Amino acid sequence: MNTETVRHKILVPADASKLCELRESLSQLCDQYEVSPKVTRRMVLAIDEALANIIEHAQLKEGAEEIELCLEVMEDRIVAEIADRGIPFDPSPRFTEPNPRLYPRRGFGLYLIHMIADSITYERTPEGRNILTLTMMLT
Amino acid sequence: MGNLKVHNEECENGVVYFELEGLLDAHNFETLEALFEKHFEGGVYHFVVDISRLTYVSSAGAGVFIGAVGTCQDNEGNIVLVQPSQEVKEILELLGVYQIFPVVNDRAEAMEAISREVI
Repeated sequence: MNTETVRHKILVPADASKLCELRESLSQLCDQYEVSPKVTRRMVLAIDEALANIIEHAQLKEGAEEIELCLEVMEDRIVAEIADRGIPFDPSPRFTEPNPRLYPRRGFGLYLIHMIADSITYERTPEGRNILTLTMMLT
Repeated sequence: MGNLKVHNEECENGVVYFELEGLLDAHNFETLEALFEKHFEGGVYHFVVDISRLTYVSSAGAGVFIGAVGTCQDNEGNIVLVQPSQEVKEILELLGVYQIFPVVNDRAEAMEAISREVI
């Protein structure tokens, strides 16, 4: 792993049909920095879930439909900052303990993100942007 | 629907066999959900689902399996999974639901397992 911090900025269209290509790009990026397959899989899943939630729930308006993904690859961690101009949201997981018999069919995305990320922060800026930051340790 | 292929076969004893290939995510989960619903409407609650060639499942995809297995088990049926890949197994484990599915290694073993539940 290179010790220099590398920052990648990706503009993601708010279109669930494009998520497949993005996952592929993120996996390739992680390969490039020799991130382990397990961390790569989990990081890609967490980002995919965050983006899918925005696409489905953020009510993005015309002209503000792109989601900004900034990925910082450091020596010991990956930080993914996901920004959108949709409505504010509560990033808390809807479930605290898995109970398969009580699960509804949807709504597991935030739970998975919380299971995967080592830290999560959420900010609503005065300019009306949601910024969700996920940090995943590499070891 | 792109990135997901579903082979759907009605077998003897009212068992339905699905073979899934590709990716199951927020874009295409409704395809599989609709397929399960169609069979539920026909009174089918016993499924064998080969997911050995399913390489990715997001929470939306996992939700289809979780919802479907709940409906099946509430109607004295079940879903037997055949050979989940490491990736898919990991996601179901993260959600804490992997253990609710009977998991076997091949179709023959799955048909035997689900047939015991049909009888």
